[in-house]
Amino acid sequence: MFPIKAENLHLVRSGVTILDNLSVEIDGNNGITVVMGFNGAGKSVLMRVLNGLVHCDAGRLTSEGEEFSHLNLSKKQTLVLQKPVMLRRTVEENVKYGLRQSNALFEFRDRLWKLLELLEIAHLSKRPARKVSTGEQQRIALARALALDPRLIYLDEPTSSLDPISVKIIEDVINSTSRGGKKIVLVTHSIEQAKRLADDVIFIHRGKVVEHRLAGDFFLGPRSEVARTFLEGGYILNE
Amino acid sequence: MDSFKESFLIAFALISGGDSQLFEIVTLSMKVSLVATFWASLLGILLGVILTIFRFPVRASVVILINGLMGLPPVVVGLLLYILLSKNGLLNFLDILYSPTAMILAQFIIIVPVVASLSLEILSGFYEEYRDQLQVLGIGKRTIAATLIWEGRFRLFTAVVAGLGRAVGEVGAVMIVGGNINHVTRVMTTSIALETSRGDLNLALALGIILVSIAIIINGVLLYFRHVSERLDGNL
Repeated sequence: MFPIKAENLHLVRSGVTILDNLSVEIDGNNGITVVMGFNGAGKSVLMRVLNGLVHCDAGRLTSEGEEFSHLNLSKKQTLVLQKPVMLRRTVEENVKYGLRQSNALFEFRDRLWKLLELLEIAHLSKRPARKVSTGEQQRIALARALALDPRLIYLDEPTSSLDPISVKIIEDVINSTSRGGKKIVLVTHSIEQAKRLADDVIFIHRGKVVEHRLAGDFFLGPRSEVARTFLEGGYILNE
Repeated sequence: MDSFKESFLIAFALISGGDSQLFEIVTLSMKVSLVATFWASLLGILLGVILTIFRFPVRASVVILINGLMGLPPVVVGLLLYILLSKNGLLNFLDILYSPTAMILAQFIIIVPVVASLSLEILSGFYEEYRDQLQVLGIGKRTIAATLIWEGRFRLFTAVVAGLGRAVGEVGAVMIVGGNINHVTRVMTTSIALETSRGDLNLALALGIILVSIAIIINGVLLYFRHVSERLDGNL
């Protein structure tokens, strides 16, 4: 399915340019790609565009050179939303829902328990998913996404406003999933988290990709002024 | 005042004594309304699901039509159905005029828009909440439909129960197409109308008490399902 290419994506809503001829390429080589940028840069919108939730006014999305519209990527990629929606079922049933979509008829229970244990939510399995904490819901969402067994997982700020334990669990799972051969694209505001996880970094500003480099190079010396300001903890006026 | 009190006492005596005529009427009423509600619920929920998930050119017009039909006067339904089922009508071949089947059909027509409109409202709320999540999980339309129905099942029960409430209390249409024939098509509402006009308030009152009791039970069931639904939402 790689490379996934977004070419000249342009999106304007209510007179505001959200994506400004944005072009980016996601290849399957580097395990974890981190997407960074200031608030309103267009990171989450890009994730939604790449998952078919938002349609651009112009531009082209391709996978292995073929247009997205001609492909069914739904079983190959998934997105863990910033605010995942829990079905009105138990924790276990929410993860099972993902497993059923992957047609995992064999070793169904084994896979279920592995996922529940991996995300450390096995003790919550019989509790209503909507009544557990935000951090636990985020872990359920990640377990449900992994249950689909996709090749590529997009994560839109999965650890924002979570407690350190949940952050650690999710980061460990991201790392192990990436080592297991899956591609991860992670949106985060946390520079420290990006440094811990990223193999390469896409920096977006005002709807454009400003930099896309290997993580080590990016953090050592960002080429753009705006990325440098971001890493120094500064802010841009008239954002 | 005394005669009113007396009528009430006799009415209660009829109920507690298990009057056969009274219970024959109640049984037929419930049969007709339950069967009509069952079929109307199947079609109404199906329409609700289709209108929730699919976007097609005349969708808005269909929604307006269904919402408009919620307030359809039962006597008009009865009249139109009567014309269709009578000797020169298009549906005359069915040969069901003045039968419980005709009454079921009338009630079905009256409550389909009620169930469909309420289902649409309920399922749209769920779809709004779940759409993005289900799409990123790669769920197809058929599974989305099944998921919405399952997730909203307790709220959908309230739509069904509201339909049943409308059916049980309906009088105009069943009077016209049923004919209010003793032992054949006489139901609670038509009996109350008939007995009142004849001045026999005892049976009318007994039926009225049962009808009100059913309405109270239906509202109790509605409240219960709303409570269960809110608990599942995580609000309680």
